[in-house]
Amino acid sequence: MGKTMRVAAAALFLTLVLSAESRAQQWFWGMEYMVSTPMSDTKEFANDFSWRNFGIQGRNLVKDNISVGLYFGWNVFAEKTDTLISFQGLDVSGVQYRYVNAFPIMATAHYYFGRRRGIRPFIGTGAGTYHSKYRLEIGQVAFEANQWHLGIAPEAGVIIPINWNARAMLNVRYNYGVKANGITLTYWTFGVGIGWM
Amino acid sequence: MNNTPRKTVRKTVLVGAALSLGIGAAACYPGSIENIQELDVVVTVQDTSVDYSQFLLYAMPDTIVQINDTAEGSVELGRDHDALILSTIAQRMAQLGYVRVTIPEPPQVLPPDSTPDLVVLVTSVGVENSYYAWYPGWGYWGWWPGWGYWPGYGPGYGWGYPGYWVQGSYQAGTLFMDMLDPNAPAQPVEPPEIPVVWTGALNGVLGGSSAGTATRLTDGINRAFDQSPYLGRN
Repeated sequence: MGKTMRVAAAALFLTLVLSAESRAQQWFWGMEYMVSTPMSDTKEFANDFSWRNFGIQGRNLVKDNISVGLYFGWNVFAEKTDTLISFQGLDVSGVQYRYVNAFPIMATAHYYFGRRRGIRPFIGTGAGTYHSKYRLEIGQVAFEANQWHLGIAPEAGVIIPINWNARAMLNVRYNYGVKANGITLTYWTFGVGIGWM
Repeated sequence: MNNTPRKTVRKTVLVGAALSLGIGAAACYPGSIENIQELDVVVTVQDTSVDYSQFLLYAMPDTIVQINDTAEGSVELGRDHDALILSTIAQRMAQLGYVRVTIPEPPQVLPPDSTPDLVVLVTSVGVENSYYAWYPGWGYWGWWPGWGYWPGYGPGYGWGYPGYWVQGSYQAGTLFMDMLDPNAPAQPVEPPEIPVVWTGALNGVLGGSSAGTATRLTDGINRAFDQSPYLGRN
């Protein structure tokens, strides 16, 4: 956790410094609601098409078509299952509640197409860390593990003007937390949001 | 809305700090138990080095040993379901192709090739997570006259569970089914142990006066055998 946290903190600090020193004056603030679907190890642990996802972000337009910023999210996967748990001759059956709470903390960079006040498709990525909580409840026992993953979150979307300040945003983001303690954190989010410039 | 960079950075830091602090405490766990059966957990442990098709005859005492005391959190273990438990286990063993041998009391000389290959012992534990109390061994089972067929065993012997298996957390009212191979060499540990080749545990299903206890017991025993497909003559 220590190394991961240091890298994440450095990335966030760098983003803030770059933002502060940039001459551009315009920030975009947005919040988004997402649905998400897990992949690979995450899906294996908690196979859930999730309706519980939320994100908040700030982007500083350092050029007309480039922004750097920050992104924080909260993604929840939950599954009720009676899958048999097997490990080296030990088999455990029973109703299980499995949860993944993932919190991406990212520095972001985006490139925009289109005119400044028009509809602006964009591509970009986040880089930073995911704090994830894995929890398995079976019977009256709960097992919980906290994990930090270094990660990236490539993203594509479009920002649509509503009026002079307000913007609607649609995006799709691939969240990838690199393997840590044998677990890879992977999921897609599909978001709709609102923002202000 | 235009902000100065310094002001905006301050806002960013504040929002980020608030969110980061919240991460430590926040988490969402939306599920909830819908009925008591959802709390039933069945654990089975096999000895991966054993070929279970080599066994044919088994003995099972007609008694369920109860391990209990008056410690806080313990449950009173009744005898209402003993016959159901033993008959359900016997039924599943028969379906697996194993043949039950009745041990006469006092032990008499059995016909050649009639010595059981396995001994199935059923124990209920009314104490919560009690490692010392659960570990049954000779102290709880030494009374069984069937041991007379394996004169090498006696007081001081324990049960040797397979692999890394340790008795961890379990609830009061747990039912244990142990399958011992008394013909195998005792495990060279101190105190010596009779090898246990299979264990099934139904966590917390006994005790209380739930009307559904009988169903939960039969479901649990059946589940223990269902999730152990390596058992049986075939």
